[in-house]
Amino acid sequence: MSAASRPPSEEELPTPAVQSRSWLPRLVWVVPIAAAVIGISLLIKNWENQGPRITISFLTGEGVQVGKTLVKYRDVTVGHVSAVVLSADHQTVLVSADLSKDAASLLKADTQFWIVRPRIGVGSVSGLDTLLSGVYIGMKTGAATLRERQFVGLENPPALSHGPRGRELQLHAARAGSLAIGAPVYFRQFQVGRVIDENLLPDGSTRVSVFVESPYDGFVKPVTRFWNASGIDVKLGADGLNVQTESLAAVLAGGIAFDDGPTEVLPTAVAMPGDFTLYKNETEAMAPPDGDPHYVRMRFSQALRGLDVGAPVEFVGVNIGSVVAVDLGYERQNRSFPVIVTAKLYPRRMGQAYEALAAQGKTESVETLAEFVGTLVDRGLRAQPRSASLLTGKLYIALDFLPASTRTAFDASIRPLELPTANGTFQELEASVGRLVKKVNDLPLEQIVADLHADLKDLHETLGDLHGRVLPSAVETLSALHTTLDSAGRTLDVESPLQRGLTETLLESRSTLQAVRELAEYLDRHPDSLLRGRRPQKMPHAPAATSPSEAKP
Amino acid sequence: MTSFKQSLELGLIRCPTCGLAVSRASLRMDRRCPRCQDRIEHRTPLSSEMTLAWLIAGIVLYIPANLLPVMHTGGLPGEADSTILGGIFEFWRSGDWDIALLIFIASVAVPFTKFIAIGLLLLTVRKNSRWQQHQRTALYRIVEFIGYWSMLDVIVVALTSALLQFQMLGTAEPRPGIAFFCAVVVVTMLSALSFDPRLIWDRRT
Amino acid sequence: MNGHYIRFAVALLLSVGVGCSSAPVRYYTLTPTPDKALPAKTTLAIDVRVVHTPPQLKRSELMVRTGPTEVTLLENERWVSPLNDEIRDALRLELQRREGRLTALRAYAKLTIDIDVQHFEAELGKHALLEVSWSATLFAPGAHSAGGRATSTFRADEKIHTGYAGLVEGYQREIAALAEAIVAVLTSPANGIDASCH
Repeated sequence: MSAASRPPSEEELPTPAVQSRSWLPRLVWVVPIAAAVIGISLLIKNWENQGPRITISFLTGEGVQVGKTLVKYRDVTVGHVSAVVLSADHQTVLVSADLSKDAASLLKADTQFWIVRPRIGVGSVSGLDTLLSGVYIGMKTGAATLRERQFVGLENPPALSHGPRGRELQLHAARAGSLAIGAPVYFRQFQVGRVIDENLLPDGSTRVSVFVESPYDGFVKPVTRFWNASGIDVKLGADGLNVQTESLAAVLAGGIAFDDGPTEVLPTAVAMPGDFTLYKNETEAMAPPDGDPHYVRMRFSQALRGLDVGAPVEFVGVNIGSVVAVDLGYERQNRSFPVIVTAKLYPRRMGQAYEALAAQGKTESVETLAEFVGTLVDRGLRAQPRSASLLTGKLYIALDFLPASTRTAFDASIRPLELPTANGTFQELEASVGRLVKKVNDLPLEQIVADLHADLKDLHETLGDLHGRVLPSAVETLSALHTTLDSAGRTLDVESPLQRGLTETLLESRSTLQAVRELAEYLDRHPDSLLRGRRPQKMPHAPAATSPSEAKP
Repeated sequence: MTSFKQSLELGLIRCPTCGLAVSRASLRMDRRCPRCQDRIEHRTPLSSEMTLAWLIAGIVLYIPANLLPVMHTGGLPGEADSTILGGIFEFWRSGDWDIALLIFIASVAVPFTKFIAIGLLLLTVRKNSRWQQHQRTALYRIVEFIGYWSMLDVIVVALTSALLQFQMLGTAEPRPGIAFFCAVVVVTMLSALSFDPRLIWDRRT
Repeated sequence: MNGHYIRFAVALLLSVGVGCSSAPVRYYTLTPTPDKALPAKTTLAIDVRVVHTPPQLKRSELMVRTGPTEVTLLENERWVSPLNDEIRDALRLELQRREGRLTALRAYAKLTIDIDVQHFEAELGKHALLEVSWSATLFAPGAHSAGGRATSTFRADEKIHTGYAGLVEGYQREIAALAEAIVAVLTSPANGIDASCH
């Protein structure tokens, strides 16, 4: 047994020096303590920064994604959606959103929320950027003082998302007249506002709300008239065709225009600020007020086919009213059926004549007016049906002075006033036509034909002349023209810089397209070349068979 | 097993640096080798304590590593933060179950395994238990070996953030979560390093 | 965008792309290397138009026949300009070199050659085939209608050396032969003009 295999005794071994233990390893506990401190501080920071959580109910949750959909106020992200659930009655979708702390002050009781999706309306296209980035929830803060956490979302974005300054006005019309929400409002062909709402009132009329931006709302005064400026206004008048339109947007989406109305304002027609009438077109809007209508009745002893309700009544050519009713009466004495026409007249439409009469005191009351009419009747005023247009066969009533009329009795006290009538001349047209036809019948046709024949022979000879002499020189001229065009064509030939430039461009495009095609084909054959680059190719072997030249039949 | 003698029973301690056999004197205090002056310790002092400290640090840091986002991607389809678990779930849902599994193993299974394994080693060592000593040593080896593989996720985030800078088409940025995760990996590695495996085999003396 | 997906895709791309590079591409041309001699004084303006080529040649890669029904595209061997232009320029240069022999045509100012390529194919290391039908039109100075016309067909099936360069060199020789044939027809004693041969 060698000394090496025996474990040494304690005395043989050297004694190590003793040293006290180091305390450094104990410092390691700093690490977990620091880790815990960091973790807790993170937790506290996160909890402190938590903003409010709100719930918005929408009819549909289309496009809203938990964790991704953002809530934006004035296009600044203030929060995100944290949950989307159905309501208990399954009628609405409840969207919960966590907002940042500083957005808490925006949550008033009348704050509005809506989902911004791509929307295409007649007047506008909005929200297209959401096609790429996903829908988001827009927000508009309200003015109430109460804070709120539960909201009902709007299905459509509000017309004014950020409260521009201006004035809201209500217009009343019998019909909406193809106006869409968002349709423009013009003042002297300058857009100053928008239609923001349309409502059907219980009585059947329409109320249109418009918003006029400041400072243009200063143009809206009590004398302002609003009219529907949609579409294209086409008027065919004595001065020709007149086409008017406010703008393409107005043609497509409808539009409203306004301007100062006629300066004379009836005492009874002062508009309340904020409430206006919407007229059908500019003419109607700018028409001076009509005043009260006066009803008159006329008896005609001829058929009035073509006289419609609403047909105009003209006095010395000026439109002063329209037909209200066309009726058939029965007179027992003569056993005849007169046509009874009722019309309403607006004496004010006579314009200056009316003013002159008013100065003379003739318009003070219905009685004085009737008396005045009586004097006119004595001078020959009669109501006569006339043809408005031969094409349409429509009639209108003309009040005119007919010197050949017989004296008739006029009672100024009957109400409604009865005007004496005269027969219309339109029936005479038929008689004239008949006479014309007879005249044509009596023409000596055979004589005419013989004369014509002789003339034709003459013409034939002239034509032969023409052919013989005139045409050849014409042909010469044409061939000279042809040569000229030829040389012009050659001038415009390949030499011209335009041609050369075009040819060069085409050639360049052709090479580009060819290069693109080759690249595409190469990628088609070797799609991996995108990653791996071009691989070297082994030289292909020619076929062992005989070459084609030898195998040719 | 009782036939194997510990060096201590033979009255010997070996200097780890120069190999000098030194007599066993006091077990409780640090000693220096008379030849090379380096420390001679029978067992790494405070090994269990340090291991425990690093382990606790690792567990505490693992929570923000998972809660905070690790990467922020942006570009045309939108901006999004992603956490480790969120990323695994996304991959699983979109059908890439193999990538989801890979990340799960590297970023969730491995750290958890390490926590549990080191915890187990600490517990059994404290009790001087004789249960499954071979297996426990093997377990220690495994923990040491798999330690750095969790860095896979950290490296990929770093690479992606560096390379994916195409402005509109796609951008990527790291977020604090990945720093915490990196810290977890480092700390658990340190925990495994400071564990003295010889403690597994110690007998109650 | 799925964050994690990008990470792994990029890692994969990197690992694949790092070790790869593209094979170089070689370019060939049919035009012969320029002569050292100065070109002869040109009184005749020569214009060559390639009216038709087989559609499979409308690509820049060289094409070789590797079977009775099979052709192979040589991805890394390409014509430097479209094949039509190559044939046109090569033929024009060859004709201009031989212009000294066209003394009989001194009376004319412009010669237009229209080429209709019927066959243009080769088998590597074996032979190359060029078959065209051509027509030449001569214009007197200032005239816009043809003063003389000649048409013919031409076929050359030559052995070529091995390799890609050998292939292109074979084609070059055949183009030169075509130029010779055209010049021969145009200057043949049987008044050359208005002749058509087969």
